[in-house]
Amino acid sequence: MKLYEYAVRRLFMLVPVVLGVTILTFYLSRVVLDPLAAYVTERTPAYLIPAIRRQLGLDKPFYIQYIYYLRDLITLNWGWSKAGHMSVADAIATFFPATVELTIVSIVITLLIGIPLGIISALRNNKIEDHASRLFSLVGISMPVFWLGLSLQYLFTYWTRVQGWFALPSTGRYDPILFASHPVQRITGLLILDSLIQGNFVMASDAFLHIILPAITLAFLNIGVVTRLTRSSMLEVLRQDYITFAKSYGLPQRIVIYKYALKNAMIPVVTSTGLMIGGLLGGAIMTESIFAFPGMGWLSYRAIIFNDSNTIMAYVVLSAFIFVLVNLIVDLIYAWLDPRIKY
Amino acid sequence: MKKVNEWELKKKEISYALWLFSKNKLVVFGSLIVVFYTILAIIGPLIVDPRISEQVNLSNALKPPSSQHIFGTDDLGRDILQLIVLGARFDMSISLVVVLTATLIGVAIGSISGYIGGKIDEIIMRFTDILLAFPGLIFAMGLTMALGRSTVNLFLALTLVWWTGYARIMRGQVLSEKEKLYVQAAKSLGIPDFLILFKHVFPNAIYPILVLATMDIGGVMLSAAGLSFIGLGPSPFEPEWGQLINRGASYLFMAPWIMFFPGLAVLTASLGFNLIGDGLRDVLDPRLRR
Amino acid sequence: MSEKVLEVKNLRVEFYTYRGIVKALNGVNLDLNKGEILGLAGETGSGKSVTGLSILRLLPQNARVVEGEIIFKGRDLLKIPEKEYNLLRGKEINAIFQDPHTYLNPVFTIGEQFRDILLSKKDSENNSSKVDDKKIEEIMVSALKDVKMPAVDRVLKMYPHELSGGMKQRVMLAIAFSLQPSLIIADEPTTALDVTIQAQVLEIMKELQRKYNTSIILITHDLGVIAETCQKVAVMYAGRIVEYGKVSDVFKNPLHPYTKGLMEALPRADVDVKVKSIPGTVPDLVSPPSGCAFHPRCPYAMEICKRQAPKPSYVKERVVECHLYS
Repeated sequence: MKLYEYAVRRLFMLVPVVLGVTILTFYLSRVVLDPLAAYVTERTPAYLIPAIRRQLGLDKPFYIQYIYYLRDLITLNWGWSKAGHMSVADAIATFFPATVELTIVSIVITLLIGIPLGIISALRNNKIEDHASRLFSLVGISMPVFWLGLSLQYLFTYWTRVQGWFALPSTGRYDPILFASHPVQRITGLLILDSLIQGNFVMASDAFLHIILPAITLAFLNIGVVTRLTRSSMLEVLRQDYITFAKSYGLPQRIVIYKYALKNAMIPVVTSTGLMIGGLLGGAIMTESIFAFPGMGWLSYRAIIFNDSNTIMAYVVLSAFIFVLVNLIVDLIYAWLDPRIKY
Repeated sequence: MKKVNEWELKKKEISYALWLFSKNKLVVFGSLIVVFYTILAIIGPLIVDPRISEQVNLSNALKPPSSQHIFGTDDLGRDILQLIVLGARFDMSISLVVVLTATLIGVAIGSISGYIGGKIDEIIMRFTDILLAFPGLIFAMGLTMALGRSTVNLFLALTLVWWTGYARIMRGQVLSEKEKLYVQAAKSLGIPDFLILFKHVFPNAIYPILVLATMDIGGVMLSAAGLSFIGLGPSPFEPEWGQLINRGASYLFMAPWIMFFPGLAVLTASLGFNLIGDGLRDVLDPRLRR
Repeated sequence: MSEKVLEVKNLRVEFYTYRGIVKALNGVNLDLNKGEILGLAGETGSGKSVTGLSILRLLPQNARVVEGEIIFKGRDLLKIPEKEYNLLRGKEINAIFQDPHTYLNPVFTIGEQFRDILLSKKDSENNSSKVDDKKIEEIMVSALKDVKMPAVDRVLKMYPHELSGGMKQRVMLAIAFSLQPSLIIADEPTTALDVTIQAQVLEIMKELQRKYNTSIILITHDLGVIAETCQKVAVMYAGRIVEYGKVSDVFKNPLHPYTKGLMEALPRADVDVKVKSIPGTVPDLVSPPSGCAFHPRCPYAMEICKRQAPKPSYVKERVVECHLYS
């Protein structure tokens, strides 16, 4: 089977899972939650309510409602977002790219720090560097994300300023005043990228300064995971016979480690990274809220406060879908990387 | 012929494992932390008056750490250290209870699914796939939103998110053990299925479950604190660590200690469990593999 | 007059394990002449693989060379720095390992791995970074043809898992001989193969050895393989060489009781003789028996055998370590 045939086959297998996801969220949003909450306040006169219900289709039996629900999902008619003050579909289109950008920067940081640390740990197995990095990883996964975010925010936007050193911006995605004088056209929705494309270095660096703290916050957790994974993967690989074989032919240490061992060791790391991306794209609610970074996570937090079930449910479905899709992509990449995998 | 009970062999392995355990400094450190917080959780309300969580003393508000208030005071004038001590009970207990329940449910469903196999196994696995499709925190969030904000709902949401991991592992283990000869032999002797499961399959499957469960306690604690932080936890006056951090966020620049120390508590408690779990993984993995 | 390619003098190697110190090699002496195939025979635990690994300097981290010299072309391999030894690797001294399935990197094609090895050797040779791709290609193709590999071009583009065990082992032979080394250490090269494939691989090995006049140390527990391929044989037991001589001599007329036992343990199709196994088990190398290590299992054991380890005795062209001959 060719790779793309395998991909198509896997996509088909997605369908029951995705359907299941929609059923679950439908159940939650219609049966458990009050679907009227987004459209009705205390001030709505009682006699209007049945009419509203009819308009929303809430008087029909559940299975018909579910069909309408599916239809709405597919046609991107996701209702009105109280939190975003626009239709849910528009809200997602507006806020999602920010989360994507944050994810990208965060993953880059994670890999740039995590992989080398993991390799060093593996090469200095059981020595001081190894124990230190192990402790570091464990601290990383024990750390409450929101606490880290707040602490970093305090440190680098306030305390450093008070000391008279530098200060990073504490909230937001960019400085609106700066933006007014150096506007950037929206091409991809990724601010840093768009600014660079248009040669607007002022905004590019501004956007970067804004994104760096939330990205590091998110990266911290994942660095620990990547380091440990790289380490154990490298150790596993370095034990293998083909490494001994390469050494016995006098292949230089550099090549042995960085080409022969690494390519094998990276396979599980790639799949893990894929899952991380999936998780991050789901939107880091806490981090974005703390830094008021206008992405999907931030939007969802507001939705919670405003009891905006439309947005939340749309967010949940979207996250689930992304997650499943990313899993699929990761599996495909794995199959592509490892020639032994038969499909 | 002597009946070799898998459990007996396990006991020997366990004592060897414990010995290895004690050699690992990080693990010992982690265990100390866990013991410390467990004690705190138990005797917390005895050494600190629980009523202080509802006392408002504005003249004492927002005081930085000092000899009187080692961790400072919050916006209501409550001593942070005392609040942390009180909060230990909630966070420790919910983490333990969630993981315990999730493990039981997961192990039960996983073993049944793996053992019976066939269509039922397929269906159950699809179902877990659907649940797994939701990134954990988001699902828990959606559930809590739908069900309403309370401790019980928090527990429910977390448990529902976490059981799937154990089900998967258990199922995998059962599937691989099922094919082994001794199971076929036992079956042919007429031994009832559940006895086979219990006596032979379980002891082998326990290790990865144990490791996962230990580290999950730390993870659940983080999630519980996180959910509280975004407002989906217990009532606002409960001295739960996540709540405290939430409070502290509003006063971040003025009084950073309000959010800092409770967060440190969450971190160290979670770290303790993770250290143990990590050590467990090391000890159990290569050496005791038969 | 044959020149000595390799001389191992009084090699002692210990392993540090949590059970204690394992005396894997307890004074090994070996000579290898140019163009000679020497068989290193013994059971598991006799130290034959450790000897090979010591020469290759591929011992695991918990091993220590306590004493001894390994003289290769006038240099003591154990004393020269790693960098210097690395220059010898591949070009002068090569290895063929046991399990063809695990010795090739699964994520690179045969061609890529072969090329990398050749490139690294070419580099240090000419000291130029200019690489002649065509030349490399030629070498690879001719090496694979030497081992009678079908569809050479296709094979170079394949991944290891797409080849059978026998083919993979032939690839290893191809790589080993392509560099025309002076010395090849073959550690159980046919043990993991079917009998029929074994015969093929051994044939190819003999052919290539004749062609390049390579000196080979063939490590194996299979006496049949030694009988087929080697000119000289050294029998190892508990970290020492107990008998050494020409294959035809040793096999027809084994002197050491252990060698005798091994011969008697071989099933024979030509003579109707019962297969006898050697009683007892291999000794524990953490606390080996006193005196001669074989005495607990030896049918000819005498008082002195328990007290004193025998020194090598010379019987015509043979070397035996046994009190029966001293």
